[in-house]
Amino acid sequence: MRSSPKLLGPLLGLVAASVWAQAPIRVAQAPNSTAPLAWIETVEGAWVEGPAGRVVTVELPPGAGIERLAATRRGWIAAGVRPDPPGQEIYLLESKEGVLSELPALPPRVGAARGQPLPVMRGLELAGLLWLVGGRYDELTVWAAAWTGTGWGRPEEVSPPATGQQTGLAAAVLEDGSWLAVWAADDLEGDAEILWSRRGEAGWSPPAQLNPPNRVPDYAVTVAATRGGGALVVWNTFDGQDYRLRQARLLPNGGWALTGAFGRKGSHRPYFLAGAQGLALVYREAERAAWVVQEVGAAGAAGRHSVISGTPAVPPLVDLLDPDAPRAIWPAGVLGEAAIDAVAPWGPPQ
Amino acid sequence: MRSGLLGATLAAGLLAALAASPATADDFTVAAFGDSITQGSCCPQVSPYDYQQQLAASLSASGWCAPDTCSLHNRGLAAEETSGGITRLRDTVLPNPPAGQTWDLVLLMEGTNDIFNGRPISAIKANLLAMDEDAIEVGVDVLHASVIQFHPWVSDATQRPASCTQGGVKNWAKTWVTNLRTEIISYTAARNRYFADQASELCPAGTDRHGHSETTCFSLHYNEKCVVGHPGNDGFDMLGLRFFETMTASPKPAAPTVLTPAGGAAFCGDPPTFDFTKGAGEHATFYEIDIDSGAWREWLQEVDFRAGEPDLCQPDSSPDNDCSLASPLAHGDGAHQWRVRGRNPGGFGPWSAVASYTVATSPTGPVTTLTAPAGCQGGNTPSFTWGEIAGATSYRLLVELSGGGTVHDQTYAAGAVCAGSVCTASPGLSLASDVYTWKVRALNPCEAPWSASQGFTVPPATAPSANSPSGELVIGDPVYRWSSVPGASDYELEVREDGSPQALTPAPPYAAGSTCAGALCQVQPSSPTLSVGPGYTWKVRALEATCPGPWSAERAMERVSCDATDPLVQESATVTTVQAPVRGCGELRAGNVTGAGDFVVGNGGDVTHHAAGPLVLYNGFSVLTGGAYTGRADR
Repeated sequence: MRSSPKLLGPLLGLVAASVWAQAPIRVAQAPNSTAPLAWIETVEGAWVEGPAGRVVTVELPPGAGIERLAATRRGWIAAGVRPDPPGQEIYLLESKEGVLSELPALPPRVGAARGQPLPVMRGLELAGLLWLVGGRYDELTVWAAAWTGTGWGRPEEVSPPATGQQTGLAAAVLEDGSWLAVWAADDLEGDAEILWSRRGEAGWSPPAQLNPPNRVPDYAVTVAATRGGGALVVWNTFDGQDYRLRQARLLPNGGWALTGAFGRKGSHRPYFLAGAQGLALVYREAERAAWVVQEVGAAGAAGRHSVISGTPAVPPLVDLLDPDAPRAIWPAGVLGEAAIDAVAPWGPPQ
Repeated sequence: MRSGLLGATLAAGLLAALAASPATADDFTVAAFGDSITQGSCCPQVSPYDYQQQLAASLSASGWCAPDTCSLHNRGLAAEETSGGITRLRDTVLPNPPAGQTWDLVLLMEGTNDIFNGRPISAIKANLLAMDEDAIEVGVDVLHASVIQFHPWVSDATQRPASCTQGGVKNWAKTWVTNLRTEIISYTAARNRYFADQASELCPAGTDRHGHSETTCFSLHYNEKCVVGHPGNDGFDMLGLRFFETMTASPKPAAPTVLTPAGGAAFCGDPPTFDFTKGAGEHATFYEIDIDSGAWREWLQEVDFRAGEPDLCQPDSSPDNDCSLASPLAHGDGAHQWRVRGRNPGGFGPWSAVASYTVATSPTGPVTTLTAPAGCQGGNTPSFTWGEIAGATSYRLLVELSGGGTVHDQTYAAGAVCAGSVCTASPGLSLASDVYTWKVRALNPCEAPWSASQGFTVPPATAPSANSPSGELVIGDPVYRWSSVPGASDYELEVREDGSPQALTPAPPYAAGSTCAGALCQVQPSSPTLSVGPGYTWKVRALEATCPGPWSAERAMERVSCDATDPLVQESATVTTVQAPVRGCGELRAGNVTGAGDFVVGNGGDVTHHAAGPLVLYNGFSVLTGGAYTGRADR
């Protein structure tokens, strides 16, 4: 169970004293849940962590892992990969009313292996799945299939092999029901750029580059639908010295509005969370060894922000339920036998 | 395996001792930078352990490090991706080495979490290169490492401890580790960086170099308490040994050879460059130059082989082994010495020989005493003498014509021209007769102001030839004629009565410009008036300004009375044939010569050829050639 005392201020020193500090873990937080919900894998095992602690411990098949978690009306859906010699295969677990089951398998694969499954959610409903297919890392293709409620629709190729590696899928279902997919792909110069494609009634649009052409890496992209039919896309981009964040806003007319780089030095690994007040952007900031939580308006305007500094680089479970202060939580078993949490009050927009 | 090596406890103690040792000039301080695999053991079931313990023990046991000279420092951060590692390395780790030490080497092994989270290989590579450049920029070498393999899925669940629920396979992570390894090998080769192949060490596909199959390797060397993709203690030891082998297998650079400055060379301000020749054999990533001006100072300069950027050294492939480094250090006055050594991930090579030089930051005062030459110079190969200036290492001598033009500009080492308090330079000049100025300035080697200029004159070196009068003459105010001396400004004539110690002159010097025409000079001074009776001698010498050259040979002369029997050329006489000799006593004024031809007036052996034209001739004369003459002779 989580320890009750709040830990304010620098946390790194405390963590460094723990022999648990190096625990390899994955905290895959459900981006669409207003309550903190995460899939956690540690040396102790794998489980789903909810606001009150462990929801359920899951025994995975040998060699299997979970990569993404999404909240549903009556539980959650987890997507991962497991060995399927000579390759690997995608599988999805669903917890409904506390009952764990595996969703039907995807239609027969068309490539050597499938991975990076990404549940595409329409609110708290599973709308479909995005994934990668391929053998060589630089020949991966992006695929998608709709979820009918009982099975999968016909897989569709979103992006053929690009000039280099395609990876880091993110997607959102917009208000009009269309899907917006974004990911990173190498360009002709070998540096990663952000590509996007939108699926409407006519199918998937040809992949197009979202960020301005440059010679620096752009990747770790995240996307969220916004009220009014738009969407926000954020990724980390290298400014020649450090990573910072960049935002693009999908306008109702289908165009894009890009902002300049924002965030302090070493801002990276962004992801959107659904908060009680709306969207929140969470990212790691290396300069202050902080996890930063930033409220974001539908038009992309920055709202309040919270800097939870002096914290481990291990991703926390972010709790936005407290209206006054976001909380970063490392559940028991992640960084030690006891849970650790740190809070930092909301500050004015920056 | 750790058999035969120091145990964890002993190694940990040794590491602590190394880290606490005082800094010395040869300290080798290493930052182990990376993520959780660098940070150390990952499970609560095991004691804290990392690869640096084995590395420290191996370095010490092998003698690679002299006692108390190497220290290894864990700068790993669990879960870090390379995008955050850039900022942490540059802003937190590199500026903050252990107290009293400077970083020499970063062991860079990061990217596992990037792959784990599906980041592009190209971005990971770019981030590792950014970290490399940041470290190199501040003089810290980088030993790159591939990341270790993710633990493969284990088909037989019974092979895993019951507490473990996942095997660590993440998408194509296993393949992507190999892809990243290929990229790292490529760019480390291109940049002359060193590379520790940890991906092959622990646990490659197939059989590793220890003969373990992949499955056996994982069971032996990954976390023995739980299969989570991190090494166990044995695995950490293998990583440490691989780093150790890479460092120690990298030959240290051979000793360079210093070129300049050397030999006590003196500089005004910092020497412009420090030039040396690379040692043969293994290349250096950096060169460290020490400057001793009482206490050794040191700095590192990257050996930069990247295209498009200024090179410190020619590439190893170049036949030119020279390196040239601009001095970034401000020198003080006085004697200095320097030396250089190379450094690579294998450590420091031996020092070069020590070379010496001196530096001055401000000039001495000006030279105030110019002794010689001054005024009239006795000869045309002057030596220049001035008073010595304390601190001067050399002197610059400048000799110029007074009318403009440099005759001599030479710098002389003080040690070669000065003795006691006097400096004398004998440049071996052969100066023409003229007026000159000279000046000198002291250098230490900063240039002091010039001294005041001092003039001197080189007199004519040759004497004119006194032509006439000579022998008997019939008038008392004869015309004195002599051959000109090239370059002379004036002439001085002296007439003396035989037996008299006193000259009847001096007459004022006669300006060459108004006295001479071509090779002939002549004057008819108003005094002295020669008397009939006594004998006289006369001589002439050339002057440069007021400085006389040697006297001509003396000419003897005697005034005699004319008598009526002496032939006289009449006015308007026409000499149509040679009349030899026609001798006159009196004055011949030959002017308005008509007809063709010149005429020659001879007086004994002194024959002068005159062009037609207005002419005044005095003295005894002979008309030797035919022609038309208009003139008269007056007694």
